[in-house]
Amino acid sequence: MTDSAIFEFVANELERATSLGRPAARAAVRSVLERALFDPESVSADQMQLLIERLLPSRLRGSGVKDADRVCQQLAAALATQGLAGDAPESPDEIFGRMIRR
Amino acid sequence: MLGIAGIAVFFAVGLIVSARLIALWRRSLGLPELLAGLGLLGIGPLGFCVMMAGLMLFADTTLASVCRVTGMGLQALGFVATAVFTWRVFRPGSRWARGLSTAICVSLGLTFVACALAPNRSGAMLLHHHLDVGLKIACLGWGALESLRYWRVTQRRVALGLADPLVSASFLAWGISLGAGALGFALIWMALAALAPGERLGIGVQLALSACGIAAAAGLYFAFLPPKAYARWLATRATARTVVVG
Repeated sequence: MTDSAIFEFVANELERATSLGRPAARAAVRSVLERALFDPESVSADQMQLLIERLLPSRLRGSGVKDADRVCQQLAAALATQGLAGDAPESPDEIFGRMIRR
Repeated sequence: MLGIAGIAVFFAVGLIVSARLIALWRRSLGLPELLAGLGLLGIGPLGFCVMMAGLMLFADTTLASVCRVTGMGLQALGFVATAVFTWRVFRPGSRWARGLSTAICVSLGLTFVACALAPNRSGAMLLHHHLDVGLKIACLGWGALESLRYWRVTQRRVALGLADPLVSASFLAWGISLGAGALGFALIWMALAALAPGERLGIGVQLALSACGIAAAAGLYFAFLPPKAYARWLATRATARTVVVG
């Protein structure tokens, strides 16, 4: 399977916004996906937003990226404006979340 | 009577949950709600009650056979809905899951026809009866395994603050419910295969079936009708366990 448009967009934007090269930028995005057990092929935009906010800043700081928080904020905003739906069907979390009485 | 007690609890909870899911489907038009609702209704209260009505109200009449076949058909439809639910919810993009789901549905259809045409009048189970129960165990067992596997995935995400702890726990509860159902069918399968014609189920088997019914009911309750105190407890526990990132 090929990586999703969402993964490609975030990796390319990260490469553009930082001093990371293409392989390092892709590895950074891939590592946060793996940490949370998401697939680059099927991650949704909402899931990627959460990962950018919660996990990517510390991963970028570890790679020596300066101002990682600001970079991630810009990345999240850019992703939100793209309107990428992703290839992912509705996740089990969304389905069960709807079926639970709260 | 003991065996019926736990199963009756399961039917009562199953009826409430399935009615709620079907009502939810009427608003959301989401296929998973419909599949889960029909699955629960067919496997549990509806299919079983129609069969029992035939046995208890119309014994030795043509209506008894009609009720038996109708109940079996409703139950088979419930299993079909459950197999499709497992595929569509947990592995929607997977070819093998689509193949397995299709194989279960087609095989259940065939064993239903065989069981309807050739019932076990002598009390001894025939090959198609064994296949029918085996398929039902496989259907519930597969659903249980998928749900428990996904629960493990969401546990990691809950620890990272990326998933809702209540939704994560519902995968555990749904897995337990389906697993208890599979165990119950396996128990009754083994017990019926070992019985001599005319012999009744032993007290141990009845108690074990009752326990399976109660476990399945508890799983359904916590999966879809979680009490507020339970939800609060899960949220507090998740906050305490969340890994601080950064």
